[in-house]
Amino acid sequence: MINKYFTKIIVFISAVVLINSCKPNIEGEIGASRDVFSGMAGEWELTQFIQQDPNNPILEERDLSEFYIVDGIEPMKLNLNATDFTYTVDITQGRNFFGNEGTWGVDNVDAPSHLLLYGTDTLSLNLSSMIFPYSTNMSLEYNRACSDGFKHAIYKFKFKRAE
Amino acid sequence: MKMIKIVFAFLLASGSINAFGQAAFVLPSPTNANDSMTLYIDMNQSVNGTNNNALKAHLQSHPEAADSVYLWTWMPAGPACGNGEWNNSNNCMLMTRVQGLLYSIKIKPLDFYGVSALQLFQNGIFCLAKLKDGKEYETEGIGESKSEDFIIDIVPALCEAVYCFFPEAAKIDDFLSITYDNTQEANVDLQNMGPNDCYIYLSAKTGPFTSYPIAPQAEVTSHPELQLKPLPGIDGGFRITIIPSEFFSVPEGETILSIVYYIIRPGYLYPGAPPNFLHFPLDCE
Repeated sequence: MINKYFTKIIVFISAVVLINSCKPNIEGEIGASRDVFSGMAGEWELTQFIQQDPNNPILEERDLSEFYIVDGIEPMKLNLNATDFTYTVDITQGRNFFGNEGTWGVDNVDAPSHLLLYGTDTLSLNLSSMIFPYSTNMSLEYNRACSDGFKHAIYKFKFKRAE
Repeated sequence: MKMIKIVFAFLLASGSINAFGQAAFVLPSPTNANDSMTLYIDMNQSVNGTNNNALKAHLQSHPEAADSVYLWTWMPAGPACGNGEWNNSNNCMLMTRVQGLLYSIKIKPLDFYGVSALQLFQNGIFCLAKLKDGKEYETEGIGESKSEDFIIDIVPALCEAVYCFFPEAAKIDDFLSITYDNTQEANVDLQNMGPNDCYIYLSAKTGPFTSYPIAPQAEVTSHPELQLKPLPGIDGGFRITIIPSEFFSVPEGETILSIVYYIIRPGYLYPGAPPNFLHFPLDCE
């Protein structure tokens, strides 16, 4: 009985492979590669700040936006320049984890997963998604770790593209 | 159809092994580091011979030794009472035989190991079980009277204590929240606080005899930055969030090692000497 089903499965897989191999070759250009840097370039305004404890059983998150976003005060802004790859941070309210200025880059220009900030310290911030020129939001995650590598806190910065 | 049944049975068996196949574990899990927990070693699940270990075989062939199983542990630290010598175990490490080849020992992990909660959660527990004389029955030629090495990950429980910290480990420049549950307050003079009644004495400790309080006890309620905000929808819940490196004025060159804290309400002073200080270690460097 087992051999009967096994034989049928092998025949089915072989048929699929055979049919698939008959597809015509794809012709033409796939186009220029996406320019990651132009998508990320510009001024980004902080809209939300969340702290997460990665060691908490339910990975509890707390919204600490009130420490950054206060009525009447300009929220934190991150400015990424794609010409000279410098960045600046304008902040009057809340702790500045990014440093005032420096240079920036990404870990992989074809498929970036981290924004790299080279300021006083080098920071590697997780990008939650690809940022395109038409993207209006950008989320960055800053993983904090003790000197022995133990990850103890995650800060989530949510930005909107400044107008 | 038979094939499908076979595959299903295999998947079910795999799941069962994952759920029940641990030879060493702690209960309760998730674990509150400040409470007692019980460490279990199930020698039925042990595998002889993986590390010259033959405790399971020895226990099965020598039932008279069944009540002489000791814990030997080295991580997150050696036990405060000491493992003893390999050939002469310390009595404080004797395990209780629950039934069959299942053994347990009840401990308060922070006291037992003399470590912080961070060190416990970060490292987990490394241990093995052994007979009092680890080399007993060695002449039988199948290995030592010890189990293989076990590694137990400790999952932190949600805090339900009077004081809870978020995150559970922090650097001096992290946002750090202290949550206070007034409904669990044992001091009758501090019970039933109103929404504006809750203040906290906070001091940065930089050495055994050096600390920098925001204000002395008598002046705490005059400092609005030391007032805890009531938590909406949580009866008796209050919270304050600080960044220690910005909140405390500590001279350059000194490092905050821990935060000292206790609750105050307007019109109340602790009688006599200050209360027993509560500490939150900032041991994530």
